[in-house]
Amino acid sequence: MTHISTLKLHQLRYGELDAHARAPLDAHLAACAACAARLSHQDDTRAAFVRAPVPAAILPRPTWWERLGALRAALVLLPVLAAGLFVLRGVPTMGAPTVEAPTERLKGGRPLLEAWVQTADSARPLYTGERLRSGTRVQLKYDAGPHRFVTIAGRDARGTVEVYGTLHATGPGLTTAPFALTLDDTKGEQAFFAILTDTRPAPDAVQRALKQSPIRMEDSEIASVVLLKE
Amino acid sequence: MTRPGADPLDITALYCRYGDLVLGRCRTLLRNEADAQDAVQEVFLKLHRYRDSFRGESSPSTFLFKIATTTCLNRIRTRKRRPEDPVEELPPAVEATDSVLDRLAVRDLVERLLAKQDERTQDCVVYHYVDGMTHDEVGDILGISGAAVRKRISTFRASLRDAPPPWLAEIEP
Repeated sequence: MTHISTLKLHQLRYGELDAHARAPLDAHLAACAACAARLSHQDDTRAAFVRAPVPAAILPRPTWWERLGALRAALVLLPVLAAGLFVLRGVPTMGAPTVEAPTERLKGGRPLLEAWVQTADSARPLYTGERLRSGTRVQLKYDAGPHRFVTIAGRDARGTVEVYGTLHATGPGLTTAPFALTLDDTKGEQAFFAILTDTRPAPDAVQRALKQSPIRMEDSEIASVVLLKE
Repeated sequence: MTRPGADPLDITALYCRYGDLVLGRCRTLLRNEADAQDAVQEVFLKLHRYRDSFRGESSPSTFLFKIATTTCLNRIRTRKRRPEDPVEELPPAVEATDSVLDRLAVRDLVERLLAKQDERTQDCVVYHYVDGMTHDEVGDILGISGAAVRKRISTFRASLRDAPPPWLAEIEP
């Protein structure tokens, strides 16, 4: 029996083959244990791969235009920040300015969800509305407080909701989600949600809740971070 | 508006989508996990050099598979020229493979190839025996005819006639 080529198995997984090309491969996989095992091995490699960080050499480096943009923004923001501090406190203060928490809360009195990104040198928190490129890996951190379950989900600009999983909460305090998320190439707003509940929610209930406006789900706290993909 | 210096070839996005394909490829052909990881980075950094031909390709997966194969075979050839370099085996966790041949057979095949065959024949044999591609599929990826691939594979088989390896009988009884 002729086996499916390694490349064809990859293309099948990536959804790159049309129905005409896929049909004989599906039939072969149903009958050939060796090829089914090779496909399963590719799935395992993929699962381990997505959990590993992107090597620093492959992460995008800022162009001279972007560096210039950051410098311009700093030059504009510094006097604004200084003026703001002067108005609020009456006198200028020394040291680092207070930074707004990188989270947007829909409910509750403390930060519940943070999004972090890995840069070439280190990791840093993202701010609501921050612009990111596709391919950027985002690490979510949540504080479940007294709740027993945390459901992590996302919604893109087209309104597509993905539920990444429901985790057992480990109690109060900031906890890093056990997986990172890679931004795809859909442009526009990308929201990430942490839904904190005491019972495990059904995935379709989460889907429905996140498609509503305003977002509502009984007996839950919902935190979100909204980023912009460009 | 396109910003000056902006790069439409988003290598990080390609890595996130196809990195597992390249990693699997490198693990199959190279015998060392660290070497495989290095080769993955080399493949994606090479995309800068091949950007024009990359844009002409209909399938990024095919293009990356090809570059990964070339990169690995070049590494093996360099290693062959410097046999004093120690080669660490892959850990058992990655001993499994998604190729048609098992890892021991791949190693045997590569060693036989490097001993006697030219580079184009090496490419043909790896795609055909390790990856299970048909002659025409190999021809498509290398830009030669299926008949030319068949001829090169026949030449390789003829070189094995005196002492055919067991894996050959398994896949071509």
